[in-house]
Amino acid sequence: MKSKKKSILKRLLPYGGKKSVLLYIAMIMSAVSGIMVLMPMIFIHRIVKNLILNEIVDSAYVRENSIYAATFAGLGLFIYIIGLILSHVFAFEVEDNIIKTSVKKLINKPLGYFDNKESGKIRNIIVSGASETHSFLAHQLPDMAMTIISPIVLLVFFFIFNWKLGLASMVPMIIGMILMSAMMTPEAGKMKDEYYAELSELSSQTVEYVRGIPVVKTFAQSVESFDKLYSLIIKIKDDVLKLTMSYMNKMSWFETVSTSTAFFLVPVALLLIKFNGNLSNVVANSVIYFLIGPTFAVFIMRTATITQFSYFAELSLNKIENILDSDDFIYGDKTSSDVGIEFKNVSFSYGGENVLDNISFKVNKGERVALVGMSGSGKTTVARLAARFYDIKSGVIFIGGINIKDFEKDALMKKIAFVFQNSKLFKMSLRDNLLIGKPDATDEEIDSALINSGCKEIIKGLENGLDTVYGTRGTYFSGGETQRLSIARAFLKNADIIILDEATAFADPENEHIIQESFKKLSKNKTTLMIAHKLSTVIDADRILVMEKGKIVEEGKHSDLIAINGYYKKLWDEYQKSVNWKIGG
Amino acid sequence: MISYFMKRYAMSEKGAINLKKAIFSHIFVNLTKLFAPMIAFMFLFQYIGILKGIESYNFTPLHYVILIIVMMIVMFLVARWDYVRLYTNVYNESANSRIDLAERLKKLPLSYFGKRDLTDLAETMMNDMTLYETIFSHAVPQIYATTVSTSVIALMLIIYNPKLAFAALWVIPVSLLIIFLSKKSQKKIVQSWIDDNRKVFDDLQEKIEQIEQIKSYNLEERMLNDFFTKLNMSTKQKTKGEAAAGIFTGIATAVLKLGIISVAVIGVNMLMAGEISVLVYITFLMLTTSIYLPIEGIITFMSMIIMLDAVVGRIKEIKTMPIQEGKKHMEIKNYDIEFKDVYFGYDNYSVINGVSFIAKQGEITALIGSSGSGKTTLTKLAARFWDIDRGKILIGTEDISKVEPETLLKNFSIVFQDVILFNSSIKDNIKIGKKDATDDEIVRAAKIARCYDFINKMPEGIDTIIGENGQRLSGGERQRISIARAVLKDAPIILLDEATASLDVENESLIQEALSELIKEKTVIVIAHRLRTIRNANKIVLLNAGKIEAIGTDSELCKSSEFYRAMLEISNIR
Repeated sequence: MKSKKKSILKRLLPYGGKKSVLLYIAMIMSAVSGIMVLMPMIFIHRIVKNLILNEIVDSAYVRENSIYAATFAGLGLFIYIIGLILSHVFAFEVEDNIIKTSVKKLINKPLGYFDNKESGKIRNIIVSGASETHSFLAHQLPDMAMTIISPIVLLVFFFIFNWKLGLASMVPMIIGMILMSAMMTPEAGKMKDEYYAELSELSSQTVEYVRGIPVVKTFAQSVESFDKLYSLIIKIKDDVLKLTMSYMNKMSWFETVSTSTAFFLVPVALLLIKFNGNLSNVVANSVIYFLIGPTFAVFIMRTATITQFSYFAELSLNKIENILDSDDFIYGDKTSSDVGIEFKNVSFSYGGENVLDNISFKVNKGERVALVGMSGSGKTTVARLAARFYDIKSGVIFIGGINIKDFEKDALMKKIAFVFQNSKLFKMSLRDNLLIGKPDATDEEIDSALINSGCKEIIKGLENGLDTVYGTRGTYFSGGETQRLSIARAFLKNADIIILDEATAFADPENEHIIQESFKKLSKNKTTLMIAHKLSTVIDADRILVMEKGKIVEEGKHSDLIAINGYYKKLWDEYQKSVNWKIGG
Repeated sequence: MISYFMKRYAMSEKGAINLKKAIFSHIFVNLTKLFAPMIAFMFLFQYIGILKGIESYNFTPLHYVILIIVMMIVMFLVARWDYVRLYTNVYNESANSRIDLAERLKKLPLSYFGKRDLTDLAETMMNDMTLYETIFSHAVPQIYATTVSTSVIALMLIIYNPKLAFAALWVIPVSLLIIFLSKKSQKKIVQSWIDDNRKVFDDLQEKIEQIEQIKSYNLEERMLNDFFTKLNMSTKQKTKGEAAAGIFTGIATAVLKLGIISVAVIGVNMLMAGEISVLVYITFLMLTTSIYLPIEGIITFMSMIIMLDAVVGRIKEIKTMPIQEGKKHMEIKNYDIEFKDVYFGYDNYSVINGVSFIAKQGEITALIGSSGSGKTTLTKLAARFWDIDRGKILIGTEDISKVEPETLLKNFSIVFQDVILFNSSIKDNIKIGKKDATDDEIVRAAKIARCYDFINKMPEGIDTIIGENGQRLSGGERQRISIARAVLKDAPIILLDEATASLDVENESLIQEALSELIKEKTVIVIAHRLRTIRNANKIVLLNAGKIEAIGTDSELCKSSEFYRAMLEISNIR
């Protein structure tokens, strides 16, 4: 990926949009507050110096300087907090926009994209990933501005106050930095990477573990799968302890030295007194360095975490980009009033072997065509391609006489009603769920859709009828009920082309009967393509396409196909056998 | 104190003891941090004393150097001692919590595992521990230790000079009071922030799961807007929370700075009145620049503590989920399953309302009824997926609610539609049925379950890896693997969803043959969808709205139950 070469900040800034300016303001404010925080020391120093050098105590001078000291301290704080709030606003904007652009990209992905991805995983990568950028932008960057400004401030101090003492007061800071960089060895970096990898491994293994518990319980195999997780947890602990303990001495020296300005300042001051003589001057000047020295160490400490957080931010952003990195469809601008479906020399693969091998067929207006075959024969793929889940590499698919790739996006979907095996409802009222099919549907239309899909009794059993909100507490819909409601929605949509993917697989016999009858009624003047699993439902189809290994091997009406005594006959016999099977019989 | 920690931070006893130790050692670190200022003050006292003609001590430079070296070594050793203790404990405790979590998950009722939320919760909590580590290494011990060490310093100052000490210290309680008072409203903001975040999460998840419907009804724009509205609301809440926290922290820290003025002004008056020497005054003045720093630290840690509360909340959430335990040994007289006036409901919604019947060993008992009548629930209750609200379920003479689920489930084979497969070889997936199965046994089970025709087509046969949750297999193939497991397990009780047999047209009769072999001479409870399939059952239990409508054999029901006849009629249409 090209973008990987860019620094993480450069990649994040575009998401901030106009609010990026807030980051700069926040950084400047943070730097300014860094200076302000030092000001009280100067005023206190002035009082102390005055006390040391003068015999008479000037109380007005003391009061004035102490008020300045407190004011600057308060002001510094105020500026720092305003800066932080601004940087947070910016960071939230970035976070939001990462989520928004990603979700927008996501929702416009072709349906095939979602086939092999877990919804929870996509969600976590996007939403949690975006929040990983937060700390880096809101805290670490402004703090870094404060750290960067400190050498400049120190330089100014060197001019105003004794520079030799200044240098001595810098020793802890320099040692601190050396220790910090000594901790960032390549080996430590490698260990860190390993540790982070193990943490994300822990996430996926936890998911697998929890998913497996039912199996583990039902087959009484607790030890093994638990052991795998257990040893990973222990490994993580051991590795992080090893890493942490490799810092033991350096961190302890850092703790000892970084804020202990006096340890280095006092010996130098003693030397200066011995060889230079000006006692009062040395003492007065050392006071200022006693006061400011420890502050710089605090600044360094704050920046120490920046590499870690920028690493997290980069990692998350890469993950988001990776998961969204796939080809998007290009849509045309055509529409059509014709309702036929035609496949012309279509071959297709999901990456490996061809699932469809040079298929051609046509479904005309008013026809009900069924696809029949073993799983893996390609019948589901045909249905999905007809709704453009994927784009094909060779051959052409025409919908209403127009190449499916030239269709305007919304127009294609308006044209097709696709009823899935596992249709779901949205968390809104049942009425609103149905209205999705046709926003301006009248009550009569809704009613007839409910009757046609065998939903009437479901609604009758509900206290709030159609106003029941799906998915709220106390409402319980079985798989079959949900499926019928989504069929009602498809009826309302009243599209020209109907594609049924084992639409009644979970329906009870009585409801299946109602629904199948309704589908027949509905299909007048329309085109219906149905994938059938219960062969009894395809007997009266206008045409049956029998598929085997990606090819259409037989084609015709039920009676004709039976008469041929070929592959379809074999399937039919098998089906009869299974229908007549009795448990324990 | 230890029991307080255990309750407050949802810790183990060992963790709480270690926390106490960490606080103890950190107090020492804080106290050694006073060494450098001590050297500074000694130096200033000695030389300002010379300037001002005040009697003070008289150390040579060599004394200073020796003292500094000794102090540095002591500081280093104390810091190292603290460091090792702190991190060893924190990482051990975090590992223990993770293991504890894993153990606890195992004991939850099986019914919890259907829910997506549980996987999420578990994953979040495993990650939570990283946050937990940070907070317990960087904030919690520090807060307690700083409180103690600051109190020690304050006490020293008060003894040294009470009046000036109060001038310096009065701001600390005031500032802490502000934080304390704001904590409640901050907590509220954080809570609504967490809730809103959850909504954003759930909403996105729902949208991804519904992507097929969204696309086929052209709802992209509407759903995006809907999601963005929720996201914006959550961000607004977060910004508000961040600003409120910032302002409270700001006010509290700003108050601390007033101490500088009070010390300077009161001190100078005391100095002029001759109550204190110039040395004491300078000491206090210089102290005002650093004495408040640890308190500022505590105040910033407060936001971390509020985050910790969320983590602790989740740990407690898992700890309040009902765990199922019981006897590890069952006295089994026979494998009859008896339901005795069983009542059960989810979330105040009753599903089973007083069901009694016996499924006899060696017989097939079929449950029929429309969807939502409670057939699946009843089957799952027999295997203790949930604990029932009222009544009793017995196997032989054992009350299953008294038996540990793992022990209980040793007697069950469950063949349902939702088959869970692992990302390993087909062989390993079948082997789950019996851990110590030989290769021959596995092959035999695979053959009985009619797995062999598809296994042979696989590139590496039975050793082919099948991908996450068996992605590479079709529905029928998955079913047959689950049957192979059941065959291998050879448990005396079989719970069977008849739809399993009809998921895949081309495999249907194969699966049926396999099932017929599986259920020979077992206690079988079958959930029936197609009446024809179960007309031979020894007992048919017809359910309606969680109650038994009728019970008997096919011919008995044909005579006695109008309901049954109606169902039969409809299903015979086809």
